[in-house]
Amino acid sequence: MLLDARQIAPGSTLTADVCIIGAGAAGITLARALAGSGHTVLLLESGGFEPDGATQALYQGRSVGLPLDPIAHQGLDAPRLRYFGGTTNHWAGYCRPFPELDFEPRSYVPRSGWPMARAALDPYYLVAQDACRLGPYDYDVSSWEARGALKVPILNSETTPHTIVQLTTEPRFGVLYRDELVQSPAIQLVLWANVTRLGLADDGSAISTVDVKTLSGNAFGAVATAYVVATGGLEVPRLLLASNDKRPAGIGNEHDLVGRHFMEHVNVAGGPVALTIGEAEIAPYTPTPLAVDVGGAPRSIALQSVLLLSPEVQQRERVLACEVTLEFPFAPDDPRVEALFPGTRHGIELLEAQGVTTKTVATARVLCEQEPNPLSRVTLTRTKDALGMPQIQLDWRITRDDRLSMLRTLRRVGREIGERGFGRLRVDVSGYTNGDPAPGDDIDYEVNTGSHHLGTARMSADPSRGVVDADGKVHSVPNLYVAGSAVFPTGGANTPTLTIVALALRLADHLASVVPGSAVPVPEPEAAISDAPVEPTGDGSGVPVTDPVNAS
Amino acid sequence: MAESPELAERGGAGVRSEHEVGRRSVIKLLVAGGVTAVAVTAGVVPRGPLAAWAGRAAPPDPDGVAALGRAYLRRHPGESHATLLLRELPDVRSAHPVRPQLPRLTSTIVSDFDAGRVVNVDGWELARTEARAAAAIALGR
Repeated sequence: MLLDARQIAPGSTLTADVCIIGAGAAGITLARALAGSGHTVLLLESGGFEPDGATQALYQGRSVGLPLDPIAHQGLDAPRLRYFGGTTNHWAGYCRPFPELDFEPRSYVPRSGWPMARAALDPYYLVAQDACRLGPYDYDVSSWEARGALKVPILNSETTPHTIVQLTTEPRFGVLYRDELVQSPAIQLVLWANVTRLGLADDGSAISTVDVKTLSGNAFGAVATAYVVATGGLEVPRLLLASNDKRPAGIGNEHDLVGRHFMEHVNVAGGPVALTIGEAEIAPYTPTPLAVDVGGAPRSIALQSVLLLSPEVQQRERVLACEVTLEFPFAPDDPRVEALFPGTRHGIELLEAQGVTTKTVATARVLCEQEPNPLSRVTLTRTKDALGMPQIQLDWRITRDDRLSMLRTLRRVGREIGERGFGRLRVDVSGYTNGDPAPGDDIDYEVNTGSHHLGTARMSADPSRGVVDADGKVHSVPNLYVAGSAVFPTGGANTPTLTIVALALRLADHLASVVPGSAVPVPEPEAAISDAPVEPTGDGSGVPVTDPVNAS
Repeated sequence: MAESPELAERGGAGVRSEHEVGRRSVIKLLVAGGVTAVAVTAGVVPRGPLAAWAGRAAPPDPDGVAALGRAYLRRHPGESHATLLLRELPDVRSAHPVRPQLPRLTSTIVSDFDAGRVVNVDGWELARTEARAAAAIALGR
């Protein structure tokens, strides 16, 4: 059922078994799964079916640390999209599951370790795979080679094992699942509905209602047995911190953890690789379109190989999880090589002097997780948005170990390339060429980001170390949950969406087991509720927003 | 350990931005990252934007191998003696120029990589033997 929040009677109350705040990848997945398990769902979405300038502006805030958008220095609203489908509306579709090591505590990564093993997510990854419209749940390069889909990269080894990234060609959850949600009798999808407060009961023990406002000035409430905040890594802490009428530090913030440990996925063009192998040998690192059969139905995906360090090497070298690809192959005498990476010729000449011919020069790109850092954080400012909600301030930080991990990973890959006679790699990260910094050396080079906002309501079995437990339940509130990348304790060297969806499916199973399902159809509120198509513009300026960032 | 939200807000202007994005780096990021996105969408690697930056290369060093050798010696000043270096290159005949003898070092270089005897020279991940050979060439110029 589709509702327009602007047309709901002021002061009325919508009800359901579960209230989900935010209709992005997590919220949509949860709603579908819960509806399928006999639960009624209230899915509250701030935007409409199309982008709207005034609604998007609700994301604005202040950045006082590193810019989230290091290229264009756009605001905090740029990497996110606030309308039905959420940030999948500019998602590039990259997917792979987190490897086992990402879930384990690592002695050299403070605060690492998930409160679950990878095995706990495996059955949900399988379902998430289909929800993300991917191919078979297979991330083994050799297996895909056997299918004739690609060639195992020549650098594949025990030290530098490769895995597959699958790209969906249907990444827009809002497009994929709109009809299903609108037509479901168990789901009330409410557009233009902004939740401005999580309301604790008078005794403060549980959430008893949420306040909903529209930019047109309407206000009403929503009541459910359980509530799920699924609004992304920046908005989750905003809503928890701003809901401070009964708990002054905000909800779930008894241990001053809400908003802390903000993480991104950082990536850099790490330097040139003078290769003795031809351009064709690095083709598997570029996404290749592929038609696959899934349950008898054809589906279009793309496959990409990525290089990892083995878990043993990763731990021995004490590096964070990183993923490496080789891209942009050029002939060694192409003038663009020296334009991009001055000094590449020196390595080519060194090989030539040994009688070795360089056939290709590629760029080594490395993508890395960040160590959880409590000083990297989201707080509230005194500036209010159009709904009276405090805007956020983001102080995003990168640690020395984050940067060092990328350098060490590049060096280890360089050693592998040299050892196997495939050429030489140079660390040249935006002009930073000190591949072996001494303990006191400053490591400062610019990074790019993945538009992935992680960790601000981190998951831990220990309430003093995490905002939510392994199910996503806020430790201190029995009927409040968080879904999405905000709960990631560590980020892995992975794009997060597949794991977001898998976690949402796992949470749906949990909620189905603790929240009694309502077999009674959801009564419509007394006030007029429109089933008419929702206008593509919002209640503000109606100015369409642009999509400046392509998240991966 | 960390400031309160209020303190953070008051101190907003004083919180140091940890980096400035340099023009050159922005260009690289734009070229590398930006082209990635386009390439994924289009399924090709466009060359156009890169072409605009052709010709930005620094003046060519007349001898890249010697340049690497000098970089090695800056990091290892104690090895700035040709005699010492040549002693570490047993396959090289000291009576002859080093450069033409580099192909003889191939197996030693591979062994270096195998054994982790690697050094980072001006960013290049090199076998210690080839780095020393480059240093010997630099000293011999």
